[in-house]
Amino acid sequence: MGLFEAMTVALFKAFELQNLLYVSLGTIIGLVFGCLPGLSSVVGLSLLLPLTFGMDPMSGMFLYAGVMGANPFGGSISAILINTPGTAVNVATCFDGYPMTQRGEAGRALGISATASGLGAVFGLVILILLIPVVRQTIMLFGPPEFLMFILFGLSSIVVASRGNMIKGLLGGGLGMLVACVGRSPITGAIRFSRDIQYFWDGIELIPFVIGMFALSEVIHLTVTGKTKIATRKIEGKISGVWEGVKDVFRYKLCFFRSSAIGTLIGIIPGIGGATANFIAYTVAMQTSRHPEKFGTGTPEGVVAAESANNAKEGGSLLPTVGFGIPGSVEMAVLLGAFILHGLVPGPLLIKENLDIVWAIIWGLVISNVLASTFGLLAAKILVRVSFIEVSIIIPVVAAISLTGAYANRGSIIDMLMAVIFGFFSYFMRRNGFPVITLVIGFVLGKLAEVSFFQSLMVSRGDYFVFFKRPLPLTLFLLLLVVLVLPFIRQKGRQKESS
Amino acid sequence: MKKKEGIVFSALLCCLVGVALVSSFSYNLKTRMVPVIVGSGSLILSVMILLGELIPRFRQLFEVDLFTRDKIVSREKLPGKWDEKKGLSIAVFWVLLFAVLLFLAGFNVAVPVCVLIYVRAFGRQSWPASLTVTAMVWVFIFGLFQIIMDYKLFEGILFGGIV
Repeated sequence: MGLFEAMTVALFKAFELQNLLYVSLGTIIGLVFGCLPGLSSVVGLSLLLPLTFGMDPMSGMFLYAGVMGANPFGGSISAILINTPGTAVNVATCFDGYPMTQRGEAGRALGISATASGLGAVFGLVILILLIPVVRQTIMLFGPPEFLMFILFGLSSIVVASRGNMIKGLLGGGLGMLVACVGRSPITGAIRFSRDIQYFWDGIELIPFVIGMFALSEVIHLTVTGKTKIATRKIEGKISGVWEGVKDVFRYKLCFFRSSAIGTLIGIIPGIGGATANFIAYTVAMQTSRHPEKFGTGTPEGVVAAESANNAKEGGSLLPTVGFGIPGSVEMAVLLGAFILHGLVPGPLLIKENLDIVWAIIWGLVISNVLASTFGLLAAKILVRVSFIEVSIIIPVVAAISLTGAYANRGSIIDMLMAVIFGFFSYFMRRNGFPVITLVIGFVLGKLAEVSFFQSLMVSRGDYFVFFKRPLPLTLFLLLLVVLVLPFIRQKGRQKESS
Repeated sequence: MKKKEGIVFSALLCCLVGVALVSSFSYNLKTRMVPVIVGSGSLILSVMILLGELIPRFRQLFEVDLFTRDKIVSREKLPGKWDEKKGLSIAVFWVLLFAVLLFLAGFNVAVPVCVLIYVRAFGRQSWPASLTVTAMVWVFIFGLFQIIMDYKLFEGILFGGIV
């Protein structure tokens, strides 16, 4: 399917009543999960996985896009009104958003957030659209060795970007790939690691795995921390002056474009995520502003920078996800799982053969951002009340939906038990400083990596040096080494500097 | 305490990866190739992590961050008198109770019972609030999965459910 044809097919599909309803439903879920500090969109997306199982893939993508598009703006509502960021990507929004609320300019701050979020997302998606033809051409050069090296390179960059102990990140990736090895080998058909238990013959199911790793582990984490209320502050002042906020974005257009570009660029780099985009855009805006002293006191420029970057990031992070099958963020890792669930093969084949699905996500994100900005502004005061719901009520609700979702996928009670096991495993991993994202990505990409490895050997008639004989895999391999070594060199430099 | 837990967890990971690696040698060459490559790498990494838990200076070698000079790992502050052990016991007890009850008595019993226990006993909500939340969750799950999506929810092995 050609680029233009795919775009129009997806556009017409997007405006079908059923799909519009899915985007709207996703938008509401995204806004609610955004307003709920502690429960990120990844929990929402994980819970939706079993519900979309029987759906047409395109409709499912509209639902996911609705959640992903609306979530950052939802998080900014509680950040601005009660100084409690709904998601990690909204932390920098608090710095100037809440002081504006204290000054009685809550409506203006929300107006900025709604406009900057919506336009920032469109900016990121336009960059993605412009890059799709380039990526499609590049993908033509990809054979199995290139694809395998790209998977390994992506996984390594996620390990490095996920911060903390790199060895733990790498081990997480390895464990994920080992979990993916359970069941039938994609090459020989022999059954591995099943211990003669029939359940494992077909491998570990994606839905209970993702639900356990993200949703149930969050339930356990929240119970262990013993928090009763996440947000305690009251909303100060009235919500008015929204239009003034809309105009602010155009007043600080240079800041908007710069921050959106930063967000998109950071989104393209796998694993770094919106929180970093949010902070870097805010810092750059402060450094380049004529009034840096006003940052942190409630300057509209600060809200423009933070909010445009975290939404522009979505377009950027979609590029490695749909182009190469390397998720740009945790949400994208779940989206990758959703592709597999709907029988779509992530990686170069997706953009070659299912371009309409890619466009469906793009249109879904555009519509969702428009809906979220409009609905969010109209219902901000109601939405922010979600943040005041007691944790002791949220936990059993999420747990009940998670366990039912894990079971409902195949009607298997063992799937539900597996979700519980993965939930505890994920919780203890987090507790001991292991990044969960590398394990999930290792799991999602494990089988693809194995298939690419053997296809490379077949193409080269058993030559193990095939990965180093062609220029692209060799370049990717060298980049992989650089990515893994660079943090240690920088660390050494810092130690020298400080001593 | 935290250090001890880190050592135990790392040792468990070592064992897990070790068992996977050893058992993969029982397969033929093509079947075992990827598990052996990945398993060997993972075993080396897990031993390094275990060593790091035992020797803190060794661990510091790998705690690197590309983006910030600040301390990387910051632990969340727990509210007032809250005891983490108590929280973990509640989480383990309640999630396991939920899973076992689902297995034995099915969704129609386990969901309302476990939600009510959590909201009333651990969340210390009033009876009316607890009952309202429980009813809403049950209606949502029953309505969404059984009525709208036409899934047959598990009845529990005590009530004739088949695993």
